[in-house]
Amino acid sequence: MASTFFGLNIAYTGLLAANANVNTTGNNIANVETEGYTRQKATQTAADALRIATTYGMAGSGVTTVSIDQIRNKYYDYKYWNSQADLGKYEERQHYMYQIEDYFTETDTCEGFATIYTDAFNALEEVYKSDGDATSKATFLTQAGNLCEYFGAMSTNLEKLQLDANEEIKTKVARINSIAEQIATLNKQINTIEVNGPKANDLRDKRSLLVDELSKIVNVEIIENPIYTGPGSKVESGIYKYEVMIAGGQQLVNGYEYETLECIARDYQINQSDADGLYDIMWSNGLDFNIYGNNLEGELKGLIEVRDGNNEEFFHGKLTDSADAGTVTNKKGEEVDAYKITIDAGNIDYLNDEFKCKLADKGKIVLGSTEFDYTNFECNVDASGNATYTFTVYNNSGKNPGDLIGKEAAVGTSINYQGIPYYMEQMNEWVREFAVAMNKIETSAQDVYGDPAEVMFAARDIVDNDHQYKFGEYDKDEDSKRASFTSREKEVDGKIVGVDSYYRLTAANFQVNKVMQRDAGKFGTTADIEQGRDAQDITKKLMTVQYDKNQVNFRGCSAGEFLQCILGDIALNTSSASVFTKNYENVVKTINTQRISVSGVDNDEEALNLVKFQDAYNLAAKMMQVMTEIYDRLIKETGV
Amino acid sequence: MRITNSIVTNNTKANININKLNQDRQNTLVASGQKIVRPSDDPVVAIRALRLNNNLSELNQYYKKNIPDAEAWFKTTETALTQTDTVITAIRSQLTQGASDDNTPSDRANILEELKQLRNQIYSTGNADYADRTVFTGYRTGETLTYTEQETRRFNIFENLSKNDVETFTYISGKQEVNKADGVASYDEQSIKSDDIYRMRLAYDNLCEDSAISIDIKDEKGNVIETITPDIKKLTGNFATDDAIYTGLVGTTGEASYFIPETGELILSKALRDKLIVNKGDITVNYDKEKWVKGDLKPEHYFMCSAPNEDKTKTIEYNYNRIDDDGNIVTTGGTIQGFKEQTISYEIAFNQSIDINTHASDVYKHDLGRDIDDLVDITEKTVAADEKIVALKAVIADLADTDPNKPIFEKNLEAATKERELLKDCMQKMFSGNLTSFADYAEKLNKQIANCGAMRARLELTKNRVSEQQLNFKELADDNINIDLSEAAIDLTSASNALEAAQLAAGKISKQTLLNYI
Repeated sequence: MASTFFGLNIAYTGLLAANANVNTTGNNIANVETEGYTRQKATQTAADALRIATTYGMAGSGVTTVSIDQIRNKYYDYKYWNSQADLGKYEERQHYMYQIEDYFTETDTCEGFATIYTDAFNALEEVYKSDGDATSKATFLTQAGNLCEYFGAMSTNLEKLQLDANEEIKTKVARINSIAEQIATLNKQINTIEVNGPKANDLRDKRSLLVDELSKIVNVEIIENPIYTGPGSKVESGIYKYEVMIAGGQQLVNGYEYETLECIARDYQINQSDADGLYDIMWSNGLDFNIYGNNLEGELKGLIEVRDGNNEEFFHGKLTDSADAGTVTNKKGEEVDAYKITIDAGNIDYLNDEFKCKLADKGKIVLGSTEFDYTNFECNVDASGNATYTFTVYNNSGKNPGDLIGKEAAVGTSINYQGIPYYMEQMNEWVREFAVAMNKIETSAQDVYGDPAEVMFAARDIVDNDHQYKFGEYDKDEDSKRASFTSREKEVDGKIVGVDSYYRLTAANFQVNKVMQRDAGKFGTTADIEQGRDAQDITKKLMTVQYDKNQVNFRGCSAGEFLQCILGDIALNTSSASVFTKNYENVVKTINTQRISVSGVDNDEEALNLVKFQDAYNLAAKMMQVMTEIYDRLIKETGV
Repeated sequence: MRITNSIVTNNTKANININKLNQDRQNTLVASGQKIVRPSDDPVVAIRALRLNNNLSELNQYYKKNIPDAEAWFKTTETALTQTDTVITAIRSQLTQGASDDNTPSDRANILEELKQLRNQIYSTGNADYADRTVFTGYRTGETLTYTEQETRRFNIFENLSKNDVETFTYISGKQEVNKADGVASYDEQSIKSDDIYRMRLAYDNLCEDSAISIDIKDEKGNVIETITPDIKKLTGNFATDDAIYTGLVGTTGEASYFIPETGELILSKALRDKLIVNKGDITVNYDKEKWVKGDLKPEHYFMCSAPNEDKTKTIEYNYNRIDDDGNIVTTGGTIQGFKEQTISYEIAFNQSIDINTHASDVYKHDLGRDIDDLVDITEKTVAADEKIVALKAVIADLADTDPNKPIFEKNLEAATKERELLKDCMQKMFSGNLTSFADYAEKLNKQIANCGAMRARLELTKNRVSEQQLNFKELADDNINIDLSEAAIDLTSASNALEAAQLAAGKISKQTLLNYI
């Protein structure tokens, strides 16, 4: 027989349970607009029944509130995080491609390449009509100067953009570090609470929110494993080890511990036109964080693609020979052994062409897996188009490249995206092709003084503005000239007097020969000025460069179609970035909806719950009242 | 699926946003009037727009600059040529006059004056310029066609002649000055002789006496077959000596030639002449000229020639036109091609250029002036003979019949009369002969004038065509990038409507809550 007061206890448990439910509902309602909040639910079960040795069996003893749980589905979390990483990548691409597109776009109000180029050749046509006229020559040279400035400005714009992306990489890395620290701290707080039984729901929400943010910056993987009470034990202690992996399995947070990433500014360049001080990313513990790996996703990936994307064109080859080359002074000021290494780069069109060369004049080259510094390079191309490069290299730890013969050599790595270095290289290539074509014609002319004309386009010395590099007569079809080019400057008696190679000419330093800028008469319009000042032979040849593919062949197009080619790339990349951004926005939105569908608070539902649990409470209270009345009857009126 | 309030609000927000974006886009399209806001909206349209704009810009250059410039050039040329035509017409009327049989001595004197005047005018219009560029001088637009003042500069000239330039010329020898005191015993009818001599006339007179004169006889291919060095014979002003120079080769059998620097003539023996008139190639004469007078045609516009530069530091080669084996123009070495007409061309449409300049060598020929010089010379001589007769008649009239000199004077008068008759005859022949050649000049000139007119007509046609092309390209460019405004306006309205609908729905949905009913 159950205790007389048994019913009162049952009512009491009902009151408690209803109270817990009302409170949980209240909490849900209060957090209805809280970001990252997961709806909670009080879990209740019927209390253990009592064996009361009666004929009718067990007696129910009321209700127990077991726990307050989060309603959350991990599967949607994982899906959400994965799509966030994709979205992040495409968003960054879109953001930067829009800017590149803006730079190159030509509108009615903003003059771009096509206008400037056509203007220059229209000015040349005026020269053609009146070759003896110094004014028309000066006008043409000014227009040609505008063309040079256009490339200079574009180069500066792209370089700035590259630096922007670089800075953003640094900010993102700092954010990763900060999130890692917070997650590690939360892990500890959560475990401190949960070791005692209750679930640290709100802290878990906070942690998930941080992972949401992190997942957009870099792709994440979360592992949450129970901790057992002891080694070999199969009993769960009720707490979990929470691990965060980023960029394909590299551990960022391990329980209460976390790693940080570090940005290290390069003191070298990979691509010739790269900005100074681009960041490499390393783990603070010294391990390598591979930013170019295929496992990286997220905003970080997008930024790195934009900053370094080379359309899979990078210097690589096989080390075939190494010889001692005395000593050089390294960056720390120490004398180290230098070697002259030979690399067979095979027959690859962007490696055996001086115009397409984008190798920095000095930098780092990886032989096998060892990094060497190189101070200069030279390239020789044989008749069948095989390129052989010679680098002067040294290594701070005294490694000898002679031990690495047969190994792969590479500068930079293949990045399958048309990022800023790609557009820089395209501009450089165009500038070189164009300058050679024009110079080749112009150098066969005589100026108005009857002297042989100089080259029309030269390279400005970035350091000393008054100085310029002039290139000798250059014949692309002539094997002896084309077959070799070098990063080295031409020195006479220890003084740099110039360069032989158009490799030195870039969009950034492209300019009209200063001699002609100062005196338009130095611009030659005929091969023999004694024919008369209006002889048109050279001008006519120069004019043909405008649309003649045989003279300037830029990606199978003529020089005038530069913008068509480049803008084609840009527009397609931008449009694909936009499309994918939109797609992933939709994917993320859908997954988020699914997530909210499970975890979100619904006003109506909570309103209903409130009514429901109020009813339950009222009923339990009624039960109390009933019991009170029973006791009254029993104590005051029964058997008295 | 469980739908929570935030799903509903999120979706509503998204819907409103999509419609807003759409409205904004339509709005931008209407405002900008263009189909695309940025190239990535439609790369094909963007790139096509670039190409069309390029074409338009080029057409503009043709239409606004090149064609008007060419037109102006032709107009200048035409004006100059028309003026020259007037001069030639005047010359022709003098020729008709001079060819007449019944000219009085005073008529001849008048003709002489007129011819001298016209001689001065004939080349002056050749210096016409357009925007400071002389139009007849090929690439040397900075140089006038003729010397505008006296100048001393020694040119070495290679003049190309042909068998047609070998001419037969009647020379009257035996002229003598009148001696009013006692007559000239040796001056009688027998002493006046008329000889047919053979000569080649060079482009200039007053050549250098110390010229390294040479005549290259070339075959059809331009290879030199033979080089002749004529004897240099200076005129002295003494009739007898000069007659000996002109008639020195008459009746000789060998191949011989004289070079007369003062008149720029080559006198040929019959044998040489016979050889030259069957030669099929050029006959290149090399000579020097140093003294230039106002009105002389500058040799650099006509001949392969060379002369020292202003400070005499080097020799400038004109019209050598050296090319190397690859056909490139070089300044030294290579193959000398010699004089070529320098053609200035303008681009007037896509792949269409027009040669705008008329060459001096087509209209302002040396022959023109030299023919008049010959005419002046013969007229001068005839007028001199006229005067001689008048003077002698006056002397005879004053003499007493018994004067011992009278027979001499009468002989002299006979001689002078014969001289005048021969000269008059010669002059008449020459004048009538030149009527044909000047008719030729006039015809050639008119051809050039007509050519200018034809070119201008062609330019006009091209201009129309280019303007049409421009219109077409504009239309294409418009079609390519510009929106149909009414269509865009309708789209904008429908986008606005969609947005309104979305907002309306959002307003309704967000108000609904269970709390209204419990």
